[in-house]
Amino acid sequence: MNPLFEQFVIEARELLDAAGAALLRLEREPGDAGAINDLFRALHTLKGATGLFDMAPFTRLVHAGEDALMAVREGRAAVTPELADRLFQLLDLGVRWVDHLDAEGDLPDGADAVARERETLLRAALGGEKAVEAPSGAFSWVDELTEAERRTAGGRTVTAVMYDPHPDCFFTGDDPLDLCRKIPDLLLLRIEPVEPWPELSALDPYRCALRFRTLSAAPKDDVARVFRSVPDQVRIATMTVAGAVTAPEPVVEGLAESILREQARILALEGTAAEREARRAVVLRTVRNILTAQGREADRAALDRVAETPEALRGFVEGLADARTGGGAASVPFAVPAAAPARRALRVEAERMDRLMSLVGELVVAKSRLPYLAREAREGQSFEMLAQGLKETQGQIDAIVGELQAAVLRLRVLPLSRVFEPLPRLVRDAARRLGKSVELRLSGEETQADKDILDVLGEPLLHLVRNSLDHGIETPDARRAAGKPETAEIRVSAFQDKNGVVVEVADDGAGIDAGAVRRKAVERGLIEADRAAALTEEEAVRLVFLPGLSTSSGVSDLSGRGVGMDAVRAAVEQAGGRVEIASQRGHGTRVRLVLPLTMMITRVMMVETAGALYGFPVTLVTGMLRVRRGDIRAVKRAESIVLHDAVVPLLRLRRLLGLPEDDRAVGTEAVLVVDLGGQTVGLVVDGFRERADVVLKPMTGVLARLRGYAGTAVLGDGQLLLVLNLRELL
Amino acid sequence: MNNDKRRVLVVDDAVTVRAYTRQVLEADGFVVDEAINGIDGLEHAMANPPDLLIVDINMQKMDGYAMLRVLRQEPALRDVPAVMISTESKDSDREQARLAGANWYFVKPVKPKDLSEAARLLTGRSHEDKREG
Amino acid sequence: MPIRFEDDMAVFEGACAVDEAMELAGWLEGRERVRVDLGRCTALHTALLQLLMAARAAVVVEPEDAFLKTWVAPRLR
Repeated sequence: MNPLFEQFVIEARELLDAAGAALLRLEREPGDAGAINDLFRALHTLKGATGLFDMAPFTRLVHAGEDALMAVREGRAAVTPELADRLFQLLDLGVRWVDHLDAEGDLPDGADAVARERETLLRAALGGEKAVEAPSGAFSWVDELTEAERRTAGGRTVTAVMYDPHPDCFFTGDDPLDLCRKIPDLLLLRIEPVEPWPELSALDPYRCALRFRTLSAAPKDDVARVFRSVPDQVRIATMTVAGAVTAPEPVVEGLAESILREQARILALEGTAAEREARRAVVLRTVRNILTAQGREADRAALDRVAETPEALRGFVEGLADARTGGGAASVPFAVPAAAPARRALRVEAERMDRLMSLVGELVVAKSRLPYLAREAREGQSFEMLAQGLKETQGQIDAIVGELQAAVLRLRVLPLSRVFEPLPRLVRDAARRLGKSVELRLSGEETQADKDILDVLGEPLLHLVRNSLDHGIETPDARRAAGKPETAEIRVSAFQDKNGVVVEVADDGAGIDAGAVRRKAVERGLIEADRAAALTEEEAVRLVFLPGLSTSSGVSDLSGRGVGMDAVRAAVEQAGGRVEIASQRGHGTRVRLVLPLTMMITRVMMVETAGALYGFPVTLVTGMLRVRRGDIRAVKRAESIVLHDAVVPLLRLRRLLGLPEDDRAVGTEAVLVVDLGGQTVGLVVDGFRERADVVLKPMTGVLARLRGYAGTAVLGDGQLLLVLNLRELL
Repeated sequence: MNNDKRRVLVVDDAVTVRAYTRQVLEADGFVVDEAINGIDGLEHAMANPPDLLIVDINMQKMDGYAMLRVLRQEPALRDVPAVMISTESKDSDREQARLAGANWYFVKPVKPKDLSEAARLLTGRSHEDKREG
Repeated sequence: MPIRFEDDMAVFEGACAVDEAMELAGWLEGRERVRVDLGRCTALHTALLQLLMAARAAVVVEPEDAFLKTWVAPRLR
């Protein structure tokens, strides 16, 4: 793929994102001129970009959106929910097309027909103008006008004529060219041979070999009148031609204007504070020199006034560049544009790569000390001196390697805003569909996590928010009846704590009916009735994580949550995380996903059992206890302990692993308290060991089929550690 | 300041290009200094700060990008306007030049008229004082 | 006479109708280089136009007539 096209794909995505965000704002605040402008600007830029690649349907699609916004801006139409729906659909389609372009390099089949359909729907949503009749595919040439043709005919509704004169028409006295001359308001006339020209001697001068394609600005009826004698030889349709993509008249720009424009571009670059400051300094001097050279004293004075404010300076320089080419007055400093730095993923990566490169450089320098030490050794330098030199070099290399490691990890770290992005739109659409009023509050988007973790988070997060909307949030009527504000609130927040990344989805909806969950679980045979009855409210709520409870449609009757909760739990746990839930009937529900910062390095709690070491992801471990044997309750072989006034089942790791019973005489048992996504379990081990950060390798070969193991890790001293997947063991 | 002759530092590893640039700019009243690669260019610039840099991209030892990046970190040199000259006309190359710290970008071959016009604009010299000094 | 032939140049004047087609075809045949003067031409029949197009004739004198100048002459280059 060529770099320009790649750039287009990136830019188009950003623009569609920006348009989506602006549209959300506009729908909420229909009078928000800033939102209209942002939306308009995004679409306008996108239209220009699509024009570079000659994708007429895409240009047409975006143009239709732009037209609609123009109508809104000029007060000819209002931002109705219907219009917003249509615009959202348009943006969605755009996103799909960009995906297709990215994957296949072209637009999907039938894109043109789809674009026309959207155009018609948008017009209908605008209310005013009647949608023009859909032209047949024969008129596709209208979409393929050249730039020059588009400049005269583009951006308006036209009457298109396809005139295929009968070969014998000269004998009936017709002169097709003369008919075309009579078309009022002619915008375009193409004269084409019906077939490639034969040898001149083979051409019958009395048979018509030409056909005509024309566009007129006149109404269809007026044009049809011209052709009333040859109705069987013409096809006439009203259609809209996509506008010219480039400026109507190319402006020849002088070198000074070009250089000024370049300076504005330089100011728009991203970079560190120092880089930006250096750029500001050099641009300032450059612009001042240009204005001096051109004798633009007033502009130079104005330049000094904005010199210290980078944003204002940029606006001013842009104005200067435009001044000579028909833009606004340059001497008036532009308003400071809203600070909306374009996302530049690649640029960030480049900076991080630079850091890596410089670390590699440092490593090379440190390494270069070793040959020197080797020579010293050869020449009989004292052991103390050599040891000292080696130690220093090792210290340097250690420090650099540490930084390298951190730098490599940072390459993979991204902000959570990536997974938050789809939420506003999801909430907006679902709320509208369900007739609910919901305010979404996001916080902590800047929290960073490993790319793999983000990938894991995306789906569960959508699930949770959707659940909240479907089952948690009540209708406005019900909320009013319950004495709550009609507008519900869903809060999605992210933050980092010592265990990893925490993402919380909380609503102020109806909460989960613990009783109903309990009944359902018993009905489905997931839990025995007496055990269910013994559960606290809190524990009963956690039953929603059981597989099988939420898979049936019946569950959505629970005025709580259910859909796919076990899937959420499974996804999060697979990544070494866990899920917590708390719900209060009538007041709302809060689900918390705790994920490790990175999946490459897993922090494990190590325990010793039967002479071997085993590890558990620390995200699962909620406590370590020493329990006296006398405090362990036993009913047959089922043991339990009381923990925080709750009965917690007790399991023995030796039994789970099929190892011989512990025959040591000990007064207390080491119990690891583990949270298995809603269920707390005590696990008896032989002894606690330290925590460790390990790089977890999945089991391979025959071992991969063994249940109960999350993987293996090699410890610092070379010992092999088996990391257990408790859920599979139980 | 219009009375001083403007000093232009031309950094290019091709002797013909340096000679051509010198000829064009000297005929237009500029003082021209030459350097043969990025490191040489930095040393010249530090010793005698120019009013304008004209820098080739592909050079041995230190290329034009690297030279400008270092130069933009030097307090005394960070605001000296710089023009990059390259055989590449791709947007990505222009962007890279921009990021490195170039204020303008010419694609080879550069017409004498454009070269002297750019030098005049970037050093703040009006048409009238062309031959003075 | 609406069409005059001078060397490799055909000069069109006034309204040139379908009756000229045979003669034009005859003149065009076997000619490598065809140049046309449309300066005083006010109407050009389709039959004549298609002969000129097929012969890849080049307009050397642009028509004064706006319609011919805008839409027809560009076909003959």
